[in-house]
Amino acid sequence: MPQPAPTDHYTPEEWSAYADGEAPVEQREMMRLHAMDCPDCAGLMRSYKELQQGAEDLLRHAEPPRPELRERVLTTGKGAMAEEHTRLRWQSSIGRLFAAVIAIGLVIYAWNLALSPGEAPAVVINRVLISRYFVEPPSLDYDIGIANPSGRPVTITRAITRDPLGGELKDLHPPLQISGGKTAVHILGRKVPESAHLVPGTYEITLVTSHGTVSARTTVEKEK
Amino acid sequence: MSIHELDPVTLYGCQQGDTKALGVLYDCYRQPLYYLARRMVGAQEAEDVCHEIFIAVFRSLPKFRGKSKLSTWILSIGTHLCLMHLRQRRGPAAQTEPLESADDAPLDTLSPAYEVEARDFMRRLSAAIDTLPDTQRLAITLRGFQEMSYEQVAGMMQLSIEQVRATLFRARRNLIKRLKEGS
Repeated sequence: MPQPAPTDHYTPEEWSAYADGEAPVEQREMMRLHAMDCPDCAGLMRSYKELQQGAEDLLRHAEPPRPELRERVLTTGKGAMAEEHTRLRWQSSIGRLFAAVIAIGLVIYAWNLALSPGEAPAVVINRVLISRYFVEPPSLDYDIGIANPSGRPVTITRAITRDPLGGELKDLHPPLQISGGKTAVHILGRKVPESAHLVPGTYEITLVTSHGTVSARTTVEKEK
Repeated sequence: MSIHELDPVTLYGCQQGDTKALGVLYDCYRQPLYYLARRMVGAQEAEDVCHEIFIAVFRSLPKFRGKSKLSTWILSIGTHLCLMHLRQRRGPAAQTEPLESADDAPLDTLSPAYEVEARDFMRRLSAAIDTLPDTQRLAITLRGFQEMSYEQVAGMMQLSIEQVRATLFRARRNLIKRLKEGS
């Protein structure tokens, strides 16, 4: 902002701020020099200073309140403070209780998350069939679909099949892993005699998983 | 007039509700707070408002953390309650004061006669301050507390520093006008 020359007038508002010692630092000296040569501006500044001095004097010589007010303030004030202290103590206790409840809740949640088996996956048998190979013995295959609805991965460690052709308990090496929220298809097979056919009956599979045991079954109506 | 600050031990006593310490606080701040109340709401209600301010101060003391000077903090509470009181008394419609342009202000000064008649000047000045609009009256009153900077006044009145500067100027221009009219 360009500075006025010492001969330029300053505004009354600027003199009002000057009288309060609140004029910008870089302007003060210019204003002081200007006032020395300008009776109008000097008069303004003097008037504002007198008014400020007058306001301070009024306060200095102000009447005090009646002495009774002291007793009234202290009596009521003590009661108000006691109430406030009680309120703050309650507030603080409630706050601490609330924080403790939240903390306990978080611990329980974390504990459950760490230890609970989580939601078990769902398994369906898409079909069962006997696969025949050229050199190897045939195998009875369970074509299954597995859905893992939980937010955590599930591990399948064992599969148990039971059907009209017999049954098998098979540990999976390596275990079958399915990520949280994912689905997978898998074929579990077991060797059966060369002469075996898919005979009518119920074909059942049970999977042992990290989130619990799940089963599915299907029925074959006629021999294949 | 500068306001004394309480020493930390007395302040701690006040926060604990110690009667003697609260008495020291009262004695320290009764004059400025009563003056502020008297100036803002008038002599009739000044004592009740002053009482109300002290109770509000006592209630809030346990939460005072010393982020500002105690005197500034107490005067802020006083200012707030005085303004609340005026709002309740006058209703929301009376809040706005006409804004005058500083540019068309006449170059008005006090006549030197006021320097001579100091007592008379004080009496007239006091009466003239009473006729100012609320905001101007409050700004002039707060500036009367000698160490109150524009920044502190702005904080208490919730105005910008520029607004405080303009308000004080308008107040002074009005005061000069009224002092001249009454002479």
